[in-house]
Amino acid sequence: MEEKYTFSSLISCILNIENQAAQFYREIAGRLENRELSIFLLSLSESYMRNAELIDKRRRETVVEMALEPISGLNISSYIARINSIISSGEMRDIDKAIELSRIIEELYFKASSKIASISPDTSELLSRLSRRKSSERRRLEEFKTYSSTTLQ
Amino acid sequence: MAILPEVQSHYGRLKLYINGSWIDSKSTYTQPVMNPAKDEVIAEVPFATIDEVDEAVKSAAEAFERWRDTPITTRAQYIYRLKQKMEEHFEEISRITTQNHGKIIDEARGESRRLIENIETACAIAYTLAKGEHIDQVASGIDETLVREPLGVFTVIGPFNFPALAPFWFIPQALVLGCTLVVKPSEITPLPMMWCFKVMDELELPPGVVNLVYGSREVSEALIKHPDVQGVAFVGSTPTGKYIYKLAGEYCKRAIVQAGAKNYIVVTPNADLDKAIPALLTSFFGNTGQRCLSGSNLVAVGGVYDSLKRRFLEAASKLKLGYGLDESVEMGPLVSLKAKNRVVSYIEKGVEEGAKLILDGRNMHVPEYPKGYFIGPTVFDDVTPDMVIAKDEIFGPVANIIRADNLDEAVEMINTKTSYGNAACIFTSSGREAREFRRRVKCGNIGVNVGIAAPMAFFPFGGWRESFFGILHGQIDCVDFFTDKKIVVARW
Repeated sequence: MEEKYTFSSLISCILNIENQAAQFYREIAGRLENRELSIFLLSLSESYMRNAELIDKRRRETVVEMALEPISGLNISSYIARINSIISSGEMRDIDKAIELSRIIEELYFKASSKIASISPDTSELLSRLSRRKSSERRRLEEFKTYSSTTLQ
Repeated sequence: MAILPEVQSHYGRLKLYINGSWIDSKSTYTQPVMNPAKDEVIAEVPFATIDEVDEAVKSAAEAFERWRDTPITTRAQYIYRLKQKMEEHFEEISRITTQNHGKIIDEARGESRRLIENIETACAIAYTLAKGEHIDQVASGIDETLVREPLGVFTVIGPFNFPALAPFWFIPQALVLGCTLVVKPSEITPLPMMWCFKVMDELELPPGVVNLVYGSREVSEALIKHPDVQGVAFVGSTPTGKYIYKLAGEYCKRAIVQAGAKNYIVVTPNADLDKAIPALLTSFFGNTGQRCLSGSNLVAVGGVYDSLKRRFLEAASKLKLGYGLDESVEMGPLVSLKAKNRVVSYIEKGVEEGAKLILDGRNMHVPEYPKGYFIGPTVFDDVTPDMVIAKDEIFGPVANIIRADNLDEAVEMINTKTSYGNAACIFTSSGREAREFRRRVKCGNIGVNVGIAAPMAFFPFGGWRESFFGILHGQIDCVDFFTDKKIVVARW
């Protein structure tokens, strides 16, 4: 059965993802020996928490009228399942988890942005911007992976 | 999807807010306040005694003299702080609105947003429309000045369907202009306004500037008749609105009366149905049809009938009903059991009149909330404009499909088959049709490819014919309502 979302239920899912990712980055930052990477992950964690606040604020400020037409074609549960599986995976290294998490969120936000463009253009623009930001964060993580000589768990 | 937590499960016996304090009413008459999704009592609302109404008005009258002397820049600072406080309490107010009214959380958030928009507009009024006028040297050595002065105490009587927003079409504007208020929200949905007053209490406004009482007809009458009250702003049904307007006239009071509606939505053959269908769903079934701007009669012009009916019906039948604090829900219950029974009786009437019931909301069940006052989207086909269901304000999720051969016939229906004139909308890709519609339709709010023609706070809230009584409308228009002009002709 196709998944359907209201604007609010979609945004709530996204807020949960931001909070979950923030917690994950904070946790792995605490157990990495590479100080530079650890600092970067902590800054990512803080940035995700700020994003959550920003998304919530944007929803609050742009909800004027709501549309009853459901938002479909996003299949968020599969994204959430992938995120949970990556976070709990015992086989992946933390740096690989962080990269993959960023990739999934980037893709979800890109798709969600186009789905809500007519309902809330401002929130759509914000998701699009955050998607681009995830992309650059992922590239930075990939650089760490490539060039870091220290142990990456 | 998890259900958002309620702010409180029970709010106790509500208190009146008079002269800056929360007080227990001495009234022995109370009414239960319900959560309509659960058929559960969530508060008790006491109907204020006549003495308490008098006390509230007197406190507002005493506060007025000090409040009007407070510089407008200071009054505006209170309103700025009110905006900030409302932002902080945005989610609480929205959830309480859902809990008490039944509308889904996004609709409640939309309502809270518009409430704040009125506060922002009041801040703008302070530095623009509140100003007077002056002409130097109108005659030799003489200057002439127009000064705008606040009139005194006003009362605001709110409706059940927008329990937080509608009183805020007037409250911030009155306050910034120097007037004081006694507000009476609907006795069915008093909780959102009670919570707004809790927020206003945090502002430490001078005592008496805003007051809150509860009640029904007797309380409204006592407020309007009170010699210290200058005028009434009312939002509600047309029969009650007419009564209020007459009463205000009898007692020589100013009145803004925003009343009922029976809105036509016209779809022409060249409309973009991909865009129209979501807007139509929101128009007919948003707020469970309990809006004075909701669509009620869906007029299919010419050849659009078959595809419009098929697509509208398909989309309407898929809407998910439930408790509005579940963010996946698309439509909530009616506000009360009485309201539900009223809508059911109209559906029965439609069947009796020979309209074809092609989607029957009476059969919709919400297993998680079996006692809730739910009726699903209901669609009648083969409706004629003379049927009762096409003329009366049903105030529920009922759509009547009516056929018209051409746009002229549709406009004629709107102008002659209903006595209401609140809103009318057209879906078309023709600029000529849109312009004709806008010019010829006798309604106060016109939507072009928009299903809910809701004016922003910085425009007046329209309404013609039996949808409105008075001259000045709500929102920005009420600047003239709360003030009067004094002309000063001076020679020095």
